[in-house]
Amino acid sequence: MLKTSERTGDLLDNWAAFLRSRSVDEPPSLRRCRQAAAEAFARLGYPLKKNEDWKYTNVSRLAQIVWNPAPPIERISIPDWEAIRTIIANGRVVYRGGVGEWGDKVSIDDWDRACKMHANFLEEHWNQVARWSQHPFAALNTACFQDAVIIRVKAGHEINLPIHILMHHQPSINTGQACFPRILIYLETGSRATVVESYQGGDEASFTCGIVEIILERFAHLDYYKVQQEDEHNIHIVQTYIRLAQGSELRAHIVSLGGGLVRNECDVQLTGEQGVCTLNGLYLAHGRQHVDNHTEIEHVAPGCVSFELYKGILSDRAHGVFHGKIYVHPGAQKTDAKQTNQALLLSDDAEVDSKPQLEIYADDVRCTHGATVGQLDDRQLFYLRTRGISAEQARNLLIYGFAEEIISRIHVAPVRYQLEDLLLAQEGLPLESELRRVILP
Amino acid sequence: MPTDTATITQLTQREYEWGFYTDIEEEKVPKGLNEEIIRTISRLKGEPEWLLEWRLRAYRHWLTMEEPRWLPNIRYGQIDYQDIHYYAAPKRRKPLASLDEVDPEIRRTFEKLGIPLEEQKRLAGVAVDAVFDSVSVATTYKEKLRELGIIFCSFSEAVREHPELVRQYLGSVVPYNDNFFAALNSAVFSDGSFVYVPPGVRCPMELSTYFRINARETGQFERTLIIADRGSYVSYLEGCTAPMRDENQLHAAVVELIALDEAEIKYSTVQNWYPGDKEGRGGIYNFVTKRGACRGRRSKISWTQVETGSAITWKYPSVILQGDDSVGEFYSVAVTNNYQQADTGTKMIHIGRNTRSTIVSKGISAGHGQNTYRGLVKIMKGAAYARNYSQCDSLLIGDKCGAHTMPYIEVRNATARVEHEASTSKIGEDQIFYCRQRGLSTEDAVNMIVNGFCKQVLLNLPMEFAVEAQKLLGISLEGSVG
Repeated sequence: MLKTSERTGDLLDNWAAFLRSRSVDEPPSLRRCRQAAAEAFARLGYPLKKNEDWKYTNVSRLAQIVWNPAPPIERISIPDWEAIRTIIANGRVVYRGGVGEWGDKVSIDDWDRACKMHANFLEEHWNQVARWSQHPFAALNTACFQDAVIIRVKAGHEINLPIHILMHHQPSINTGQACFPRILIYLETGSRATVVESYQGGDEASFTCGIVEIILERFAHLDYYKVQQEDEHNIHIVQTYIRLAQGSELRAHIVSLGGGLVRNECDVQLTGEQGVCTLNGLYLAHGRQHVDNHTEIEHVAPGCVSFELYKGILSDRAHGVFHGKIYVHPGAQKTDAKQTNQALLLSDDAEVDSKPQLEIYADDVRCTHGATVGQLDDRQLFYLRTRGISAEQARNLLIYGFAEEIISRIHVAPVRYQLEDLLLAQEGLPLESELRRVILP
Repeated sequence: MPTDTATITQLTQREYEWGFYTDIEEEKVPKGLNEEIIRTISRLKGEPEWLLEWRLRAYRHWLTMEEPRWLPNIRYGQIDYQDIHYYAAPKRRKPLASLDEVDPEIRRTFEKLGIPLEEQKRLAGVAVDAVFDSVSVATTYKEKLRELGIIFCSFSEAVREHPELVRQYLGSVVPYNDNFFAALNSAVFSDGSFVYVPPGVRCPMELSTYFRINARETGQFERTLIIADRGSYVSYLEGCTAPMRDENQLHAAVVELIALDEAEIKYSTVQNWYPGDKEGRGGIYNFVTKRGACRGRRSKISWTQVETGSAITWKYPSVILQGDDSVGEFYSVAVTNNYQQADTGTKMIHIGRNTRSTIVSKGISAGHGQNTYRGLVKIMKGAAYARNYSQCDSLLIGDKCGAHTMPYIEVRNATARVEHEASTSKIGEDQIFYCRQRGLSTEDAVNMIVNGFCKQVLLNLPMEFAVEAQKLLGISLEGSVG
């Protein structure tokens, strides 16, 4: 049997060979960056349970496999709702469409094109917020990603149409295939946009290891959605690194429905005054799913606001993990931070581990966190029962209501409707789309 | 409030009033730690073979352990474990026949600390075990307690007189291999208190131990064991002080509590070890393992602590809720001023059904202090209908300090209900303004606000302690607002 260190070595060798076989002409500094990241991954290795950040999430099964690139896919169906859309299939950009009239306000490039046309931009902004030198999976992605999507919204423009990035993972067979999607979202001063990222596909032995970098310049505004609906066995580890400049605002919604072993990391730095960050999270896990939401909000500049609400519903033998850190730097006075984490346990075999943290080095702040773990409220159930609703339906309604708090904050209608219907169907409730058809003909 | 700065500066410079040193002849074992030293300590104390064996097992295990260094907000210099006298005791002229024969010098020390050893002078209703460096020098009200069958004596005495009890319970809650400092304590522990309350007895007075570190270059490694048998009740208090010195001294104690069916133990601490000076020189490293086991049904263990002293405090008084319907409580006030660091909290391990726990922690940071609440609430699979409520509030005074909250919540049972709330805020300027408007000085206003902030915890202290704790809070924070 191979030692883990040998497997990480083999993994890096495989991917280095694979990457050499392509013809992308990367700027030298980025090429060096890949090399450094490969060294960082070889040094860091896969995280062990004794690592405080991975205390509740065991990734040892990742280390058992030498991951190979997934092969190109021939055909893929394109969602029918209107959006500026890019599709990454098995790590490669295979489709770009819908830019049309928006072409002068937003540019969306793949890695090849960005390297050719915007080398200077990449030199300046690529890899600026990802902490690849300290994080094993960020290092792995930085060393191995084969393609990327680079979104740039020009200063002062507002893009009314959602920008949709679909990550489709379709391994050929159950042999341990990985893809390393990579996204950079850059909003210039005063611009506004909505980005929807969705993940689908995967199988018994596949691995999605992604990095999303989001940079908001002054007074930019981004609505960001991450919807993960992969196969229930896929391993999904994606880091989202966000940097907010003065007066900018991010509204992020992270929804996890699929995946076998899921780790969503969200690392936010508020670097300019009056930045506003809202993180809403929802995860539904059943079967043997393991969903870990790991968030860190750093208040570097004074006068910023952060608001975080994560909700989880766990049934069967599912395991939910929440780590939420609010870090207030010295001098970040007038910080207002609020974090809430709620988990609903529906089965005795489900587990939840919650680790909310406040680390505060400034005095004139208002920071709170709250965490609850429990069942459905008996009094609420009773109320519904007295109104003649069956026990099962009452239960389903309450579960739906618990999740709806997050879903109702999704402003992209097609995404919200789809999630609502999914949840209603799961809870055996009448679909809202049917209701809508009746009420709004 | 710049106008108050002058008075504030004056007040912060107030000396630690318990910082004096008693010049007394002491016998010490040589510096260093090895099996020979452990054998010497054991021989000096006239211990049975099994206890020596236990110490040696702990020592051998300790050698394989690493000193914990991973806590991000706790920074301290290297501790040279070979540069400490592991046993220091005042020289005895002859064996004591009664309390009156306590060395007058020691007696005066305790009087100065407000702990007179004459029974008639004591506040009625408190029995004291006084521990001076490595030995217990006196225990009051022993006879009276004995009439009820309560055993309250020094640990060494318990080993001699009640070996069966000690042997049964020693290390049963905190095993010798539990952690680095517990292992060190198990190897070299010197003295401490032992309490046994027989079935159905409600201890009529507060039992109390007063710990005093006196000698230079020593550490204090005491061990306390309290057993409350079926249906009994005991309230135990603990206080401590040490002289002012520039070097750091190590205090690594272990406290084990055992509550059987329907028994209740209330354990209160007012910790006032020397915190170091304003530049952070000196002070006690207070690395303590405290744990209670609610073994029986409907048993209850309640920890209340007021932590104002020590350069570094590192302790997590915990409760293992084994018995069905058992209750664990943790009430804590921790104050860090100047360069003090505190990392404290609790662990509530719910094993039995219908177990309940409450955590109320109030942290106050001032100056360059770093104050961390670190706690674990663990609901095991069998702990149906377990309930926990935690509340952790931090108050920040000044912009150089830090306040951190790190709860860990692990739930394995769907019928459990766990709630955690935390907040961090500044002492309200509007509150101070309101008080000032009504003629209170800033100092008094801060005192009042801080006392209000801590009230929920202080209310849980026995009366004699509550007064002292309130005074201490005021003194620890004086001058921190400006």
